[in-house]
Amino acid sequence: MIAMTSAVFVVMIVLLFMGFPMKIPLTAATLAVLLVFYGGEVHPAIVVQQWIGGITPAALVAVPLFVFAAEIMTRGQAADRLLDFVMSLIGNLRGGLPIATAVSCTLFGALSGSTQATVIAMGGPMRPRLIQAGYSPSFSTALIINASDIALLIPPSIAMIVYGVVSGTSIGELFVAGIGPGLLMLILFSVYCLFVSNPPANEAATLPRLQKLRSLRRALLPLGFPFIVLGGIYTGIFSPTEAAGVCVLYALILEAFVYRELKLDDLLRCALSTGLVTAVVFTLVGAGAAFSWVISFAQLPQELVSNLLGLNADSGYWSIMLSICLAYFIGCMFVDPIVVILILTPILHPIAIQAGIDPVLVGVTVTLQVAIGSATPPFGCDIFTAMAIFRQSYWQVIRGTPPFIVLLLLVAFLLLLFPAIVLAPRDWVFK
Amino acid sequence: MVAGVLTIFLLINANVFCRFVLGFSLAFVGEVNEFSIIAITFAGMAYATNQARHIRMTAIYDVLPFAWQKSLMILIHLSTLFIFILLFVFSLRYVQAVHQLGGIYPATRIPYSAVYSLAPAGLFLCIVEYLGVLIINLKEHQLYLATSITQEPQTHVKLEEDS
Repeated sequence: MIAMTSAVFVVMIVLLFMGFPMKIPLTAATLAVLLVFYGGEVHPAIVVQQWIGGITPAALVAVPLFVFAAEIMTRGQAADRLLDFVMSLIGNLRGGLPIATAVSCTLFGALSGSTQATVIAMGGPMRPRLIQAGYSPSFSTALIINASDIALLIPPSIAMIVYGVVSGTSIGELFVAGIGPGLLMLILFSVYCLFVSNPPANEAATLPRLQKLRSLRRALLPLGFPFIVLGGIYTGIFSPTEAAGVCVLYALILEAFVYRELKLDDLLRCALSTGLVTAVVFTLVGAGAAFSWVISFAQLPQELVSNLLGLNADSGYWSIMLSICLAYFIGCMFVDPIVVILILTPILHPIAIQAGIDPVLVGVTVTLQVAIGSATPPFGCDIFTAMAIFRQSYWQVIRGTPPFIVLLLLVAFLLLLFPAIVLAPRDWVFK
Repeated sequence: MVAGVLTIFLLINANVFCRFVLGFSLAFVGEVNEFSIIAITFAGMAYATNQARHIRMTAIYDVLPFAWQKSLMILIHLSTLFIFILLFVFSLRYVQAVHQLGGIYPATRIPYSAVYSLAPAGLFLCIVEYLGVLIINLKEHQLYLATSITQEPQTHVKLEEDS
């Protein structure tokens, strides 16, 4: 057992650090366990069965749809209009520019559900403005990638969909429960921005009230997205997956017919790019599902949890929740969030439920840790997106992140201390 | 792949419309969405390989000298190729087994094996791509990430000085 556990982790970590594409360490470890330790006992074709099984739950259909909606809006005008609106409101205050960046990222998160799309849509235009206003490139980049993580907690959220599918938690309830911690993150980031901000003289001049109203009117239609997602799910008109479909339709109508920006050519390009992003994510989901099956088959999770961590249902709220936080946080430092959710959830979720902890609280805590992990070195998908978009080296991107990680861990701590941040909105809507 | 994305989008909306306005649901929507997801994933996997769009941890890779990067990349392509060949063989076996069991999707009456055979098809395209890039890298001096994509020389040199 010890030989197998160490073999699995050594294979994964070595391949990961050598720069192999993410899916390979997972698949190599899966095949190693099957062929070396269970040669002949189980047919390795089970790996392919698990891949297909992993990507076909109906709720996962929401993922390409939310990505598609985000693609359409990133190419169209919705993103710019939102940005103009937020800038006209607070761009001229002290720390206005970085705070406006954080607010815009949150708002775009409410439209798109994808951190990478948020980094692209909001980071692209905001970063040059921040640097022009005298903020250091490392601060600007760190602010953008961390504020984009708020998108994971603000509904719709792809991480929450995957978590809901794996653990059987209501995706609708997770969506509502994520709003509290998402806003808390925004507030803490804004306070931090106030402290590090340049004097307001550097930033935009005050705008007349008429212009503010005008930019509100221009942003009114894009601001309708959260109402479709949340409203549709809560009135029971459609499921979260269908909400995603309706979002695409809304984005399409907005960009193609109202703003008349999007041509058929653009639409096809959006679909292609959506397919690519979806394939990259789902390849990981499939590989993660196969890996998760193999380690469960080998009973590694039970071994790790009960013997190594000494964790069981009687361990109490704090030790269970802290273990969950730690496990997901460390996991996300090395592997893609989706993979971490797929692997760790079947191990840790049942213990938390047995101990009587609210599944929605567990889900939001996990999503928060995953969000922190996405921007935490050494491995964070936001870091890689930022590297690609801003043409920065790995080290330049991560230089400014530590203060934000401290703030995010503070949010995680507050969440555990006051679960009402998560549960009160959920109870208010659903009970 | 484009067709898959558009299909899902159209069907989901058609289903909401039917249920909410006309009062009935379309039974085949779930199944066709499942086909589309499988198609997008495996076709997209091949396309992503062709475009060198992988999620990788490049912290160590980035600081290595070019010759090391090139050798490492050849090693990565070689072992990835090996793993994909294994996966391809296993997926063929799996499709064969499903075919022998002879199950079909209830609403559309399409055999499971027909849909699942997209997996070996996608994996095969990946194998072709990895084989191609491996051969090019062994022949040429430049570093190829995919058959049509070269690594920009020293992307990690300072593009923007931090203040």
